[in-house]
Amino acid sequence: MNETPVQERRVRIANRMGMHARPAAAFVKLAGRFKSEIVLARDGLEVNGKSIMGVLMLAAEQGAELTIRGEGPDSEEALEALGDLVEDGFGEAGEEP
Amino acid sequence: MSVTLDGLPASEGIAFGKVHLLNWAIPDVPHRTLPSGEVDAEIERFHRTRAEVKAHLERIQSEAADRLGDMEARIFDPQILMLDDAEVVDGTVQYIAENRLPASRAFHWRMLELQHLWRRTSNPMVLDRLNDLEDLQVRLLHRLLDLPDPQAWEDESTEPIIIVGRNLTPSLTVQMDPARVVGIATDQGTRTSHWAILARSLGIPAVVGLVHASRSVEEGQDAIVDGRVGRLIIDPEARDRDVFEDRRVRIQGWEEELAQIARLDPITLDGHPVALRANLDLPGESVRAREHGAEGVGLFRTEFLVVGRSSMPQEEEQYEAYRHVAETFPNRAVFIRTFDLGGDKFPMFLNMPAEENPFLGWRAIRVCLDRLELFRPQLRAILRATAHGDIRILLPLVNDVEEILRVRELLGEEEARLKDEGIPFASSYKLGILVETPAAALDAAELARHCDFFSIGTNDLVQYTLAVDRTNSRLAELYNPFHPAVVRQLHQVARVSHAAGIEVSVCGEMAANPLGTFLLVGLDIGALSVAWPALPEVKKVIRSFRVEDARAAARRALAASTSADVTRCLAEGLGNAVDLSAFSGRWSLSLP
Repeated sequence: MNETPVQERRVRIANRMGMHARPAAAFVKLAGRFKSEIVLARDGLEVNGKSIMGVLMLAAEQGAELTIRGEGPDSEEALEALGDLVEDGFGEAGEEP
Repeated sequence: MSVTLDGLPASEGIAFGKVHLLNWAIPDVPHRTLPSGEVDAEIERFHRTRAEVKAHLERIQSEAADRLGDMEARIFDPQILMLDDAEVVDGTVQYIAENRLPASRAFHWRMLELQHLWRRTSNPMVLDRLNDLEDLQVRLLHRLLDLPDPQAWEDESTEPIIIVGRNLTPSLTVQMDPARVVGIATDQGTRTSHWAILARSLGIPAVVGLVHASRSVEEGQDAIVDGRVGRLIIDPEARDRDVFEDRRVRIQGWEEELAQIARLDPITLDGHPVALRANLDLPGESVRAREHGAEGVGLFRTEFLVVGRSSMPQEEEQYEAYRHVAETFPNRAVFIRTFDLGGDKFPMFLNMPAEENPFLGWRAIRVCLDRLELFRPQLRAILRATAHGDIRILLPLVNDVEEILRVRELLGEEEARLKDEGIPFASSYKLGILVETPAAALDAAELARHCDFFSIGTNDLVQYTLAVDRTNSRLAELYNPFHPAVVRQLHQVARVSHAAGIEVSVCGEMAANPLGTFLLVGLDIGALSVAWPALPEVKKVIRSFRVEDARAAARRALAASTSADVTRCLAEGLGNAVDLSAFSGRWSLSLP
């Protein structure tokens, strides 16, 4: 029997505007490409990382610390890709409000 | 009779057209129960309708990409994802299957549940998305209820129209043709609403926060939208229209001139210099402020570090923010205001209890002195920033000498620790207070003995002097910075500062009002700090009068017996030096 690998990665929101609508959408889209289940957690609140409704509910602003948890065959790749997306500021670090 | 409504400017420009009321509401969803045999077909119908609406939104998105660019088009991503979201879809399907509800009812219920979850957060970022949800509901429910797709506005005539509604949505805004829709006016919304961002991209003037606009207009009425001052004029008279035409032409000239003016010195016609600084809400604004001609930062608000956060800000993060601003303004004064919490700004992690009277409650310096675990790291971070510029520490809402002495004591302790740790700072920094209560203004002579400077915060001083809540729109008429009681306190604080030999400045919206600028310079207040976008306008005002005229007008204003008299003295003194009607002040100028 195969043990399902569980991976965790802690990340910090880097872009100035935080995880607002567009970054949240980018996160959910990317998460949807992996087979693993993705959970996003912040201060005890856990949401489905493949759900835009859930991710937006976290209201993560710049500097917020999040935990990404992946459970499934490709969880390692998922966490690498998703963590990098967050830490690279969703490609909009210098954006004006 | 024309009716004038004042709101907030959201997209610049001025427009004249016929009112078209926005017809975009969630329809009534009747309750009924399905025969059990129809459940599977209903689930099928839900998925089919979802796909139709999704295809429709994707079409709007690709049009947006063509018209406005990819970045703007991505505003539609969350909405499109919501249509496929497990939280939305599975919940709805479950309600159809388990309760034999029609898809419309099940979907409506599920959305109400999700909205309820979202509303528990007070984060503006999330609240703005509720607007997206509502837009989806309008579209999907019309189809599920077999109603015709809603027409946001009738589109028969070819005349220019002004859309008036409760609020707008991005998907409606992006479909507007700026040649037809010349203006927008809404009851709700903010400058950062997604649709307002799109309106700016499209160049459609817009005013938000008008509260009752949609109930005050009728279909087909004439209206003027002034997105520069945030005003809607319904059924304008001939005179209003002349003013409108005139204003449209002048605003163009004015804007061209402002771009030039940022490079000139802020001196009066007769060569009297005024230090003109910027108010900042975020460190990232400092470069824009400098480009707009700021000679330093008169008020750097630090609440961005705490509001909406779930944990206390770390010293390092604060230090980086303060240093960034200091380095953007080498050899210029940077006034960092310590946390001004409470009132209308509550950070999550402080667990502040709801108060009966928050503006008279546990706020500003009172919170800081009670919560040293929050205050000490801020003082340390500011001290470390003194190594990189001319830093002034500004304490909000100080009433008592003891409060200043306590902060000096804390600063002394933190300086000693930094010294021990070998961390550099400049001990030449200055410490002063925001004079923003009548208590501080009346007691200025005592407070001045312990301060290196005074900064008068007129927003709060007006509110506390007149006992008028500045966030209560019903009292907006009474919130008057030109009340004789305010003018006399300004004079008193200025006189005391000069006698004590300390700098006095004003930060607050009053300084950005042309009559306010004129009065303050006339009272010999040598430094003004305003929101950075207003800097060129204020500089233009300063450059258009003589300081002697301002002093004479201020003397007359001090002897005036009513607010209207004060305003009249100032307007007469300023004469034709400045075109007041072109000015984009935050509140109406109430000119005689």
